[in-house]
Amino acid sequence: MVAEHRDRKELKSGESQFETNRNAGFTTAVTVGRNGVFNGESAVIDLAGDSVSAMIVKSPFAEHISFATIRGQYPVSLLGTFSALRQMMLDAQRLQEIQKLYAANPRGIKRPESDKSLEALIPVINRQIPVVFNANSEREIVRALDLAKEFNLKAIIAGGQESWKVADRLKAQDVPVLLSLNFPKRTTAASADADPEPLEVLRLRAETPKGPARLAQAGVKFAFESDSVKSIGDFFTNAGKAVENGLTRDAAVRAMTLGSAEILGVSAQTGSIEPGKIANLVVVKGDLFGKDRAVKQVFVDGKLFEIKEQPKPAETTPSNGGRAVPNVAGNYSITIDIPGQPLAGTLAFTQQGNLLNGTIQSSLGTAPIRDGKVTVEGFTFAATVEYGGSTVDIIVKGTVSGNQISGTIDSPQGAIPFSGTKNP
Amino acid sequence: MKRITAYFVSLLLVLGNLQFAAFGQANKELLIKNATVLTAIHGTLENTDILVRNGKIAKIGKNLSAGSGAEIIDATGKFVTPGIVDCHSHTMIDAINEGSLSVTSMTGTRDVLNPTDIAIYRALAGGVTSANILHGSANSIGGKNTVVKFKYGHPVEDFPIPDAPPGIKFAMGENPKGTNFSRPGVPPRYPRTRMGVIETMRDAFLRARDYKRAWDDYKAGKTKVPPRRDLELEPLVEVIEGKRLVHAHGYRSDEHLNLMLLADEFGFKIATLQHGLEAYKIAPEIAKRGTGVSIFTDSWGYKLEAYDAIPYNAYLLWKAGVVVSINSDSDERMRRLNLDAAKVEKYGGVPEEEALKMITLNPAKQLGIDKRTGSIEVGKDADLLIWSAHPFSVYSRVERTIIEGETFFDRAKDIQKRADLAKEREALEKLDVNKPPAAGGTQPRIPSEHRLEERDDAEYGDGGNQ
Repeated sequence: MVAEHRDRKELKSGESQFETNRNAGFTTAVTVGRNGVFNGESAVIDLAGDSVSAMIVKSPFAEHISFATIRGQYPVSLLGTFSALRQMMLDAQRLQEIQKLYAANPRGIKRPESDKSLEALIPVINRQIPVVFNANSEREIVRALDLAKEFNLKAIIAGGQESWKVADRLKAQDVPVLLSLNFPKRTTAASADADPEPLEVLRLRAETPKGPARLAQAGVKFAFESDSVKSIGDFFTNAGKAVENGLTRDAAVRAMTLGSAEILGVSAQTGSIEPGKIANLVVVKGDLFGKDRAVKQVFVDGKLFEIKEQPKPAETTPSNGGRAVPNVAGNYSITIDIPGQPLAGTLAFTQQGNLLNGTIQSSLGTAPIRDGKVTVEGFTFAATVEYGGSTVDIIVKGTVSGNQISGTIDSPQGAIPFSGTKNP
Repeated sequence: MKRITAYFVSLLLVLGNLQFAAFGQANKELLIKNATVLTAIHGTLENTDILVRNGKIAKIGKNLSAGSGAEIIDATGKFVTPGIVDCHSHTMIDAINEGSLSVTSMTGTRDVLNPTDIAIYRALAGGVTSANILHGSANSIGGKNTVVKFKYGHPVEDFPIPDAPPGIKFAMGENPKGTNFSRPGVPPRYPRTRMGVIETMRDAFLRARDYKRAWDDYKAGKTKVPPRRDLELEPLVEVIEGKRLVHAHGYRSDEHLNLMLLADEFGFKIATLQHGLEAYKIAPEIAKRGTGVSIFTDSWGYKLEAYDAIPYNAYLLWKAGVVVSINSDSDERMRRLNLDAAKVEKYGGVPEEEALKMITLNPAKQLGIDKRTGSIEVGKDADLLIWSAHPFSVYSRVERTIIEGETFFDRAKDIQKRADLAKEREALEKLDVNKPPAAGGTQPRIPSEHRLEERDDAEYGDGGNQ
């Protein structure tokens, strides 16, 4: 619940970290973390510059909030998330009230204690800086809008996957949307033993590309955001899908440029090609939303970046500097070092390229592996296991060296080491 | 000129009717004809009609007529009852327990309602029209409740009943104690005994009392600076002031008695003892205070504290003058509450209408919504069920579930719709976005015999059915 966290304090200077995005044509961005309920205060930065302060276009931009939970302490559930947010807003209001009373006449009043988190929220409750709510499902968006109404916050929705379902309310409450172009796509393999996917999941995947056109029709202000899209090229391809599904090309381009700048509050400085504005320009050959798209030159703050021909990256294997991704496939007998009660288990791995599949098994049961990856550093995967009568989400990281396997299992209870050997 | 005017006028009529259809169902009249009506308050009426208008029961009688445009349902041979009210439910919420603290009165289920939960539709198919959506039983003092009507398909703000009195969940016994048992890596939490549970509650009320005093002093001008608004203590002040109903989960008669004595001390009464499978042992003490009990009919022995449960519990409590309701605390059991009500006729011989009241008027009374719903009376909300047979028969099915005059479940239409849904699925599965990836892809979840995340296991499995 750390509202005062500022990501720009953690920005390392160096333009190279933005190279992928810049080569795709992005000149300006808002970057913010995803930890906690308050993700921190963000800034709008240009993706090039000799120092962090040289990159900043607008700071602060907004406070970011996710409806997340915290491991091991209140709020551990969504119930707590909302009451914790509500209590903090009330506390920020009260701090401001007491500061005013104290400033007017300090006599007889205990001096207000400074609290960094609450101080960071004061401009938020005064509508001086907006709040960006990460909300994708219809009910998350409605919860964000309700909270914004309760505390009279200047809200922006980020993600907004189902925002078209509440377009009327977004328009009425004058809330813009940073619409994610990370359109959902099926990533699970086929399996005869698995249940068929729920109808609502199938529908959501089919309907999402129609969202931008529907928002435009309802008069809701929106801009496109990349939001952890797997490959930056997907950003433009999906914008193209939105155009195929009813969004005008002009509206699509605007949603990446001036529309975005307006929501970020930097439209006086950038977002369109007009004299006097920051020279953030992209020269694109071919159709911006098509397969033949080729970004040739990018200007950030007037500095020219020539984009050389990029070799098409392989579909599943990311570049790894020449070292081979290890093959970790096989069955391993492991011991999980839970303090006081070591647990025996088995890891059964199958591997395709750098994707890891399989199961983790112990006397507590068998669980399938999710999001399994192998890199030169080792392997990671997630799983959900039953322990102590409840379900526990775990993240497992480890390495294989010869016949030995070792690593850690990360859970809300902490990190537990494990080790073992490969079965012949 | 005349021709043009005529055209214009008829166009207006068409538009007017369209608008009627769109806002339709609350304005539409509904006439249920020739049913056996179990009113839950004035006995059973044979061959009786019910006229619904503007969402309310307008008339009950024989040979009624409705205006043109009314929907007429021929209910010959069918049975009509009030909609079922489930006094203990964790349906339609995205989180059940805020398990980090022993007192979480600052939380509330209203913040996490999920109006798209398919369990709502299934509950409608079982005849439930209203429910008490509660926080779980992991904590001695849990969160605030929401009393809803299951208006599936409506936006979330339509679900909470606007004038329902607010409530809060308390829990005693094995569940709140069990949350705090030692587990590797989890910091130890208090309380771990029944005496700790009641002390946690006493402490919370003492703090609430101090909080109320601090605010009273500020309002009387005795202090300059307003006290900090504490969302944890405010609902507890409301409890002390009699403005918020306490629904207290518990099994053992001694702990429920203890809680009622604590409430006496602070000057309020407990609204309902939830589960209360030993409540028959302290029936006079409960009746004396006007506290209600909300039970399972014949669940027994699934926990040590459920060992002394008997199926005559409902009968004994009813005989002592206690308002008894039968609840589900389960997405699955809530679909067959009619059969649970039937059981109390067998165990003790509770009269039929009193048994029906236990799933309709009594829970409505316990939740403070009995002016609106819970029985079939002129002026009340038209929350009605049309059954294919007597609701206490195992062969009976809900054919129609109506809430405030609007149909939210229609068995015949549901069956017709299945073919459409199958076609829709077939078409959607052909789209590229819905096809599995050509190579690789993550492992899909393979169902095991024991399915996690189903609400049978909610609240550590109260009621059994493991």
